[in-house]
Amino acid sequence: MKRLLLAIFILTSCSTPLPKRKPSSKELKPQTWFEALNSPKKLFIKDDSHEFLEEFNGLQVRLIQSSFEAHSSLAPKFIDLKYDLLECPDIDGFHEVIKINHRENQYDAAQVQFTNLRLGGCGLNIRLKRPFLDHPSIFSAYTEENE
Amino acid sequence: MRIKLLLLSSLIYSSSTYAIEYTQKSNIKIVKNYKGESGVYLKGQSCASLKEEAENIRQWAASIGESTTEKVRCDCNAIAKTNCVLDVKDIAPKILKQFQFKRPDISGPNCWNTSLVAAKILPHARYTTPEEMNYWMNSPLCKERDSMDEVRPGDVIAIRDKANGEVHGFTYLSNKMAFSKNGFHRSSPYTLQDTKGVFDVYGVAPECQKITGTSDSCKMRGNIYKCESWDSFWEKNKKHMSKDSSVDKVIDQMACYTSSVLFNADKKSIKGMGVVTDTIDAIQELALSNLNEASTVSEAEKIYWERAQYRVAALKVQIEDIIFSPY
Repeated sequence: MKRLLLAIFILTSCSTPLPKRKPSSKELKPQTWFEALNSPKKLFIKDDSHEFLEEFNGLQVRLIQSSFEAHSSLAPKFIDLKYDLLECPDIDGFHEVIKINHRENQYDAAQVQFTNLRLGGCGLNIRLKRPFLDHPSIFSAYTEENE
Repeated sequence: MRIKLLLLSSLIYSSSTYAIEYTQKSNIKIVKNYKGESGVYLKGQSCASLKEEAENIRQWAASIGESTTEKVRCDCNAIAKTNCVLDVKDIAPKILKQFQFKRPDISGPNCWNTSLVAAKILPHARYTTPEEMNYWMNSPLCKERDSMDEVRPGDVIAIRDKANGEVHGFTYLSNKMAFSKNGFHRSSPYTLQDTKGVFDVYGVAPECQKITGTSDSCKMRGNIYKCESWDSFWEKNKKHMSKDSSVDKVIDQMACYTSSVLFNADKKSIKGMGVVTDTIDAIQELALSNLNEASTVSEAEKIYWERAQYRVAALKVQIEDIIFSPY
């Protein structure tokens, strides 16, 4: 009986998922939009500049679609990016603008659309203006030593 | 004894410092450093095959007015005679010596521009629109080769899609070697690369790589052009200008400064772009008003103003990337 109880205890412990740990700022390195397109590393939203992203800070994303073509000679006006969030905040969908400060001026660099299907998952659609491709994005990735 | 030989071989190989960029499918590698000197070197299995490619580079140079009778030097490894290196510096055209391995600091310079600069139709590296590329390929400066013609070193290959949209452009040297920059982004380098590899990247089937005109059966096709330089064309035709104009020279200066910023970007140089942006709209207006008089001007003069118009339009796209670059 004792052995059975012990076996049940071990099995239930193993099947309980480990709590997800949001990486700390020290572990993460900010990525430019271009790096976020190409990085094979895990990406996390890490943005203190935009209030609407506060709920998303530390959440992991996965790029599932990008309109950027590495070999394209045509410089497109916009680059469309689609990310899945691996964890969904319990808020409604929204559409917002990501502004950046550049040489004493502020510019609309990208538009973000958050969709929350609740049980169906959630995602971020981002439309980035091409000239801002090499600017810091809203994403960070693990530094090499923390990977 | 065998171990000693192995150790000796690895010592010899490790003492040769190569910075290597591999071509995709041919056996020729493009090497940046050899015996402590940086330059442009071909590395391959025999001097015979490397000299064949060197001759194509020489013919490319000759096709754009940079002929040379200099000999090339090819060294083979004393132990592994298949490990050969050929220095192209004495026969390579200026564009190859200047740009091989290079990446700009700011995005913009692309394949179309590279092929037009290589053909000396445009003087400076910057973004080229697909319209500008299409214009020059259809201009009197470029003649499309018939599919029965032999493709020659220095020819421009324009890859188009079925809707006749411009997709890519590069300079052909041989079936093994091409010169190209595969993309507008700053991460794409200028480089010699395998010709088959270029066609593969852009999805051009072998039977579609040398097409005259359009094709119903090819999703992607290559059209081949023999092009004349702008200077050569203008020398013959400038007499047809109804009035003197220095607009082309002014655009040259703007393009030159823009290009220097692209490859040496910093806050100060980008601030200097203000002069270019101030001038560019005025030139665009002037080109448009002259083209509106197209019925009264010669074909050559029309080309002069169209050239100005396309150059300015492309510069505007390039300047946007410079101004918003993170410097």
